[in-house]
Amino acid sequence: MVTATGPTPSQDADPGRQHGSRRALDREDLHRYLTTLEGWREFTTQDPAPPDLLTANQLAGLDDDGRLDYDDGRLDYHTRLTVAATSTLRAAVHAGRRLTLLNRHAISARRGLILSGAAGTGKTTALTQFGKTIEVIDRRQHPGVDRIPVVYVTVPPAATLRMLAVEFARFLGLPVTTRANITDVIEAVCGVLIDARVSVVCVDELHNLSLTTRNGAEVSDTLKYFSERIPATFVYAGVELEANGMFNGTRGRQIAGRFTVIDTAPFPRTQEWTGLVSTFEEALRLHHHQPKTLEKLANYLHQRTGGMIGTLSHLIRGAAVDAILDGTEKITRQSLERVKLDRATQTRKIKPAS
Amino acid sequence: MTSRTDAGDRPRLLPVRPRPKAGETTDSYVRRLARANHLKPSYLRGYLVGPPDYGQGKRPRADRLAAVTGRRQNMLERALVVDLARQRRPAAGARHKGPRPTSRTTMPSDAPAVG
Repeated sequence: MVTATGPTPSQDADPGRQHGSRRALDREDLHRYLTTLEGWREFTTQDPAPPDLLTANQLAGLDDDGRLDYDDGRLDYHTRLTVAATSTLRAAVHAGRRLTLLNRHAISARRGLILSGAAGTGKTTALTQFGKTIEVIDRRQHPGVDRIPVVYVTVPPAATLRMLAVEFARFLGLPVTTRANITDVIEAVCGVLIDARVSVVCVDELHNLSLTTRNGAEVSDTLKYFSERIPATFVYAGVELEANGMFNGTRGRQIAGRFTVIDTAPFPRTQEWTGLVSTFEEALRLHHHQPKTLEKLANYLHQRTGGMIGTLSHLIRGAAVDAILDGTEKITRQSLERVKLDRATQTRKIKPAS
Repeated sequence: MTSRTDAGDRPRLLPVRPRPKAGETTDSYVRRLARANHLKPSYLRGYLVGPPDYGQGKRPRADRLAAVTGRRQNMLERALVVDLARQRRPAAGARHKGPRPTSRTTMPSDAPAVG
């Protein structure tokens, strides 16, 4: 979690700026509903073009409202910035597509994919980008047909069988009231997903499931039941699943026997890291930012983030938002220093770059 | 868990939404809607009645049916043989329900002062 240094008190008092940030946050809200069909569809169809940077003359010609709208658009853009195509992301998408094709005609024992690694190593990004890829391909192959090619759910903390079934129902928009019988909910979920030709089921936050507890074992069995009923490729993501015992015991061994595991890890300080930093830098839309400033700071950024792609993205986006809010319109080492990072990164022992 | 699904119960779009047929009864349409979504018709009907009791035997609410099908309420009411419950909305300027205000007893002190 990144805590960007906020705007100065004088900016806080500026209602226009508050209004701009508020609107950006409202739009960001939509992204929070990735676990609903409407939110997921919005995520998979939106590909916002970067805003054009106005010239100094054009900027000078804007009235106050125009300037606020212009900055508001750029703030919104920088809160998301871009998705860097890391080697991990490419490997996940490639392996996922391969499995989807192999599973197409399998009548049982379909194979799945697991993304496992430390927090901030890009598991969720890889999972959602893979889902988005499948959704886009399906839409191209079946234009105008109302299908649900991808489902994205998260395992709630201390999940029970009912909670998991409700998560699937909630994604689809199936009503679940206190009167709902859990068997009926599971039947409805399976029926709708089979009719809608689902091909990929993404299950995130799998570390919330513990196979050593009765509830965890029931949730695991339900996931297995879903994978047998629904002819789709199941892709799981979670924090350090192997260390958390996901592949232990009878259930664990069965999962291990059916799932390919891609381990996500912090990036070493290689040319790929510099490339990732450049990708983020090229996506920036700041008026006074000097090109290649961040590229030259690649060593510092690696030390600061510990090679965590999620933390790097937060750091650069946080500094970009600050640069628009405080009007400096550029990212420097000093402005990066002002962005507070997550506790895990702050407390990590910094090793000198090799 | 249940509170999360029931609280603030704002119906969402159902994943499968067949069109209503002209002249179809609401009951028939709700049944088709339920089957398309692999739900029991009685369960969906109860859901469309809405909180607090999701009662069976009561009429589904037009606004909830419109919300789950993504269709306009007036369009549904035109297409279906209307046996939907309309949500009561107080008309603008209408007086709130409640006991009628009683007229005050005129007291001797209300008389105009003399001289």
